[in-house]
Amino acid sequence: MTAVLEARGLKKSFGRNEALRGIDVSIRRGEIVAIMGPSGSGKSTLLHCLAGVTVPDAGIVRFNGTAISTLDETARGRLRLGDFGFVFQFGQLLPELTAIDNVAVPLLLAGERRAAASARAAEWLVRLGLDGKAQRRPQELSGGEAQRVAIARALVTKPAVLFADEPTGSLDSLAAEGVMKLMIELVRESGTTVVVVTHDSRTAAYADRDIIVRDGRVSVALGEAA
Amino acid sequence: MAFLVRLALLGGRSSLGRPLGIVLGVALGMALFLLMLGAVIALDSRDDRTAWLNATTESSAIPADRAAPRGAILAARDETSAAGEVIARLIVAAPAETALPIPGIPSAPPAGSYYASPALQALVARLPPDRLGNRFGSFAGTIGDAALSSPDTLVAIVGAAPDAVRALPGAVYLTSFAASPTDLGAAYQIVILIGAIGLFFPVGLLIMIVTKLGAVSRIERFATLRLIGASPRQIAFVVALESFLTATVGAALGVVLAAVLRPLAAIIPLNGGSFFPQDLAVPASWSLLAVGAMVVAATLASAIGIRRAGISPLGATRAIRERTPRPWRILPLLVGAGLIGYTAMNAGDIDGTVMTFGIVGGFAIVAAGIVVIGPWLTYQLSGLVSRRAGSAAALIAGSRIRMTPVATFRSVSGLVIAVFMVTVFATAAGGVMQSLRVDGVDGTLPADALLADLPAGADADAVIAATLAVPGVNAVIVGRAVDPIATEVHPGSVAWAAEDFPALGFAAVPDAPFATFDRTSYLASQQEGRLEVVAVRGAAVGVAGAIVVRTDGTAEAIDRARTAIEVGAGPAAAPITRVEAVQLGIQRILHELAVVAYLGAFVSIAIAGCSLAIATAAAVIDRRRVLGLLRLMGMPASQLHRMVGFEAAVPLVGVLGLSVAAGYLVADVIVENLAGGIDVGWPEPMYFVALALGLILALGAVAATVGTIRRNTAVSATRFE
Ligand SMILES: Nc1ncnc2c1ncn2[C@@H]1O[C@H](COP(=O)(O)OP(=O)(O)OP(=O)(O)O)[C@@H](O)[C@H]1O
Ligand SMILES: [Mg+2]
Repeated sequence: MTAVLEARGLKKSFGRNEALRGIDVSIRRGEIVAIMGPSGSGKSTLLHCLAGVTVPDAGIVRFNGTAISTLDETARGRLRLGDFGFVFQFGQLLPELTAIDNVAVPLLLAGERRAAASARAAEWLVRLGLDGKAQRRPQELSGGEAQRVAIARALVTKPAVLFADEPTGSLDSLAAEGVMKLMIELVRESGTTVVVVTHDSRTAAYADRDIIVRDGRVSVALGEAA
Repeated sequence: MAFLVRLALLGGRSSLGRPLGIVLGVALGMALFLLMLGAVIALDSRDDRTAWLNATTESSAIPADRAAPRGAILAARDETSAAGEVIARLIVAAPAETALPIPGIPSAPPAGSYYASPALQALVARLPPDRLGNRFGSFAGTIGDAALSSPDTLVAIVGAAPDAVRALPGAVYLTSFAASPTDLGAAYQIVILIGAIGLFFPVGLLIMIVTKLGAVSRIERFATLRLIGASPRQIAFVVALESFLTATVGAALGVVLAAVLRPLAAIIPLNGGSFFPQDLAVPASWSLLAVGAMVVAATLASAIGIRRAGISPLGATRAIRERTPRPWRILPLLVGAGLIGYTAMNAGDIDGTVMTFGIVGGFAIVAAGIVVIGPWLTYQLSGLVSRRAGSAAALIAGSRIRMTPVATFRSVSGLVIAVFMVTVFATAAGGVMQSLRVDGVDGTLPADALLADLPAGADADAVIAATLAVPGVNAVIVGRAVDPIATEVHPGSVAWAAEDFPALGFAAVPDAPFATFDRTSYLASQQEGRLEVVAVRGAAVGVAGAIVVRTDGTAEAIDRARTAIEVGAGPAAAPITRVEAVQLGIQRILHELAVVAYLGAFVSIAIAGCSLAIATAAAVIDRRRVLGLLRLMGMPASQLHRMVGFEAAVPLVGVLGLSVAAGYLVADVIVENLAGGIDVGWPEPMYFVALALGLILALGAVAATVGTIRRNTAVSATRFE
């Protein structure tokens, strides 16, 4: 099977602190992968490298066969807008925008007309069980609702890969369960590849496979085929 | 505690830039304030210094046809002009035994000599004697600065024989030079006050914005301090301490800056002349008081700012949403407009002080009204923008403004007020300029001509011959004295031959051999209806009583002709051009002040531009996490810049129109009522220059923040987890 995302020999240092010390990963289309490991082990750094947010010091990242780690910032920006979606732990919604406008932003950035963007954003809010909350602003939403808006925003452009860094980290276990269930359901439906960083084993349980990172290296890759 | 202070004040990349910004902002505000204060004091004190020039019109002056008191100085005061400048002249004849000193000079000039202010003597030296010097005689010395209002003051004290002085209009015996200073007149005071108000707004706003930026940019840091156990009072103390220190340094620097800028500011002409630099000095005790007030205000502002920010251990608790602006915000604008309108409509019935109060007060309330209604207009417009937005940049900018209309408007309010002020002056000046039209108006003295009287006793033929001999003089038209008993004209009227009327500036020729006309209308700025020409029978016409001298229109020819007339017929001939006649009125003052207003507007706009840049940068820093996230999602930097541009443009566009309209109307009302029946037309070209300058500054200010945007929103600048 072809790898949608592939990294070879990734290294990244912050000053004298080596966050990634040579990482190889390969992620197949439609796969849901959990990146786990202790705090400070380099999980977020790895995710940023894979998503073209951070440029690694050494090694290469390929998306659908194209080396993205050598692209310039503008090209990587275009790639992130068109092919990737992002969900973080918290504070990622624009506080001045309503839920529906928050979801519409990536579509507008991609050049879609306002009316069409709003219609699609509304559709996605319904899918995430947020009907009736469209005109609320982030401060007027619960943590779980805000995360679901963030997921809608990440998926509305139909990205090839969804990157999530502790998407349920700020939620209680019940809300976390709900959010994860919905997210998995939606990505399975559309065949979106997911890379999710978590240290919660219940979140990881939704993944097809885990990548364990320790001290900037992949330590065990459970369930990796062949 | 010391640890807390260190933690709060040090560390962090912006830790040096921000206090520096506050120090500079406070210093600039302080310096401007001190210079303005200096100018207000100086305007008073320097008018006192030239009050002696008004002694001839004091009630203590004794008319020259009465008996001479012992030791009194015989004096007459008039004006002459050269190279387009008006020169004040005091013609004196002092008895040898007089004990009365004349201000600024060691002793009275003997007949045929004169003392001159340094500026006048420079002018005399610069021009050929037949243009100016010959009018005064021989130079006896300069008048001391203590008797002059400004380095530019043009004054001559000319010595003459007692009989010659006694023959001059308004000649008096002076026993004292004590006199009250020239009353500037309501219009003049209004304009100065308006200028001061116009300058006050942007300076105050700059200080507010800078102080607020200091508090807001550290909310996160303070939240952390709270989290590790600092009490709200400790935080407030730390903030107040920092403001106290920076404001003290800034205010002290402002005092120094004011002293450094003083010679430069002194060059600005106000009320007819630039300043002696030391005139602009503010007494040390006042400076100290201003520094104290500034420090207290800045300290309080930041302490209140930090309280309002509601720092809790979990960060700023206060929602970023402001209260929605309500329509009542239109009230102050209506009140101000009403006050001006009422004052103007009843201008005839109310006294000067009340009128000054009504118009200045109305102006201030209208200016404040624009600031008050600004957020409401901004809010309405942002609603439109966010609903209609077709791009992410417009959507985010519109929504952001909709939540914080007050703060957003505040960042441009300085510019908006500056534009209001410029519009008032430009429109007023435009109206004045129009009324100063001196050429080609039927029935008025042509622009190239001088009108002079020929006083009884003057050798008319000699004067006419001498004037005709002046290079550049094309014709001398003689008017003849009229016997008032034999005609129905006013005593003192002068009759002119019918065939001379075209040369006098009339399109039509009267069908009587001689005709006379009203001198005031002939010299007026605008023709108000046709001149009434009264026919005179030839039998009533006598000796030469007045002349109109047509020249080639150059300043040289006019000056030389004037010298010839004054030397031949004496100062009583009082030659005058229509430009001078017109400019001696209130229009001259207004026109002069318009120039000052442009200077003031330039300073206001520059300060307002600084405020806008600071506010824009602060808004970006404030939201760096969210903006960085947009970049991470793939928003191009150009879109981010557009978004920041929108945030400045929406309130500007929304309220500038109002500023322009309000400014135009206010100017119309003021000019119409103070300058009498002048309709304001198009503003001067300078207005459009000032507006363009303001716009460029605003754009430049926003563009200057591009670096800040890039640095603070780079994907690597914030960690997203
Ligand atoms: N921008 C940065 N500057 C300096 N050091 C950094 C930066 N980002 C990460 N690091 C360092 O790199 C290492 C890996 O960080 P990373 O954020 O990837 O860990 P993590 O596994 O995501 O931890 P956590 O589970 O706590 O989020 C850490 O030692 C961290 O201190
Ligand atoms: Mg992490």
